[in-house]
Amino acid sequence: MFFSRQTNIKAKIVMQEVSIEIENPEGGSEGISRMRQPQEPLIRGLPDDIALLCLARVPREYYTVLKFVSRRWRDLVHGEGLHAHRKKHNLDETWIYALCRDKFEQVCCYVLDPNSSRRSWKQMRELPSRSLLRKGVGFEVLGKRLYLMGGCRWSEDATDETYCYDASKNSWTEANPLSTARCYFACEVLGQKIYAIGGLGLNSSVPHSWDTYDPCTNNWTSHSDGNIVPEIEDSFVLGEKIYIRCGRSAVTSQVYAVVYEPSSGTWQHADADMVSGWQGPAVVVDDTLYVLDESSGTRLMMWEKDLREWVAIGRLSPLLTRPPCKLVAVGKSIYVIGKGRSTVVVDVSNAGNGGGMMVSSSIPKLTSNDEIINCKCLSI
Amino acid sequence: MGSTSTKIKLRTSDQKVFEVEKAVAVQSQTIKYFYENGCPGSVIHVHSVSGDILSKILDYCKKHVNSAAGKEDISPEELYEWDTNFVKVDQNTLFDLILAANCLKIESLLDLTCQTVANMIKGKRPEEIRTTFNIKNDYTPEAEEAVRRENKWAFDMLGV
Repeated sequence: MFFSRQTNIKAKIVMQEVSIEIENPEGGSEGISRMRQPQEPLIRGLPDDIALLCLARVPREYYTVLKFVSRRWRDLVHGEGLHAHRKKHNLDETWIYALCRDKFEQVCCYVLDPNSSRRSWKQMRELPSRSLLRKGVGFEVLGKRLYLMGGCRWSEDATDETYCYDASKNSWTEANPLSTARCYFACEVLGQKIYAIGGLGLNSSVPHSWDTYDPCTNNWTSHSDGNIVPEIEDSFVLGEKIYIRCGRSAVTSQVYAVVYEPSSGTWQHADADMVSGWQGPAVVVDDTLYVLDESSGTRLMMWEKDLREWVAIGRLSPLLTRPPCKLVAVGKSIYVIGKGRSTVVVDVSNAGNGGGMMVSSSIPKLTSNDEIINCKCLSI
Repeated sequence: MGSTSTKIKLRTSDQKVFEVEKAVAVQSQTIKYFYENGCPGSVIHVHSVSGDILSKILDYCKKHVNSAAGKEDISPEELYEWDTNFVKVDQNTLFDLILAANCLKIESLLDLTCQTVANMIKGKRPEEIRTTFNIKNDYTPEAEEAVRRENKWAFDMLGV
């Protein structure tokens, strides 16, 4: 139908004339306003569905302010409707969350808004206190939520505790625990589910297992497969499959990696040629795998899947990068985040055509020596 | 095109009649629909839009049609500048433009006007936003304090 979406138009043909009119602009014709009737409109003078179009264009850095305006504005920011609209119309903004360990061995989390004019890492306060001293904590983003899972301490066995941070509400809650207590495990998202894979500290009855979290049911499910090795070094998702790199054999120094096939629900040995170059942190941009080789200096490598070979894209200045680094991708840019959150942004839009890479900017932070545990992107 | 181009007649809520070049009028998906599905030569009655607002909207459409067709030599920056000036209007007019752009289904104008409202919100303190848009603060003082506490660190980050 032509007038299917967000229109308040009544059309009638009178004699030879066609007329177009708006139906009661104050009333708000759809959804939000109809549910709880006698209430203030979001913006006086505009129907709520149109006020939503305006508010969806306010950058997310202002959400804290929007929440103070009125309870209706707060509910809008906290709810799913605004974010669904932003996602649908490509208005959502990605921020990078870096989980770090400071000089007191405490876990801390920093946020970077890549598009902000005053671009710098800001510390998030009020992390769940019980996670602060743990090691091997899982860190993953699903939708507008960030999850901290499991972990252990020298004085405490691995835990199944899970905490959830809602980025629009800016608050932490305790979430459903993992099916299996773990630490130093891999976390990835595939098909709108979190996968918590392998790791240490597992109950011996399930040493080769993984758990999946479905946000729709809010439940964790446990699975097992003999191909999963407990010591996990890195992971990524490429072409709807999860790859994990397991601990290296000290004797052969060969990389052991397995890949998860969601269609069969099984783990198999990954392509040996591809895995041979997976010697450092990995990231996927537009279905292409990149790895930062940190063996001597830092060199960005790309897996040419058609030629089946690794190609060096370029070397990064040792003045900018401080390995060991973690990589995340925002659009066509790779953020190389190293010690102390030193950040180098590398544009790889032309890498596939032999155009190499372009270092577009960097955020040095040389005063801190915080170690980067993990980095994730969250868009709302 | 030129003098031989088809004209469409529009009548506004205050009974003003506009004779508009077809290419300009059909920037509105709604008018386009009625034009293609109505009788040839009929007057399209735009009940909900006043003459003043429709005149502004037609200026916008003409500018964008001419620039897209290359009839007017205007750079993207100049067009952006023109758009910026176009929405420098009082709030009532801005809201009327939004309602009309929505009703007439002119996507780019709806984007432009909604973005203008969003820009009016950016960088303002909550009290200033309430005053600008005449919004009632329905928080109890305790509830407001609770929100402030919960969001303290994020507030510090913004420096507002």
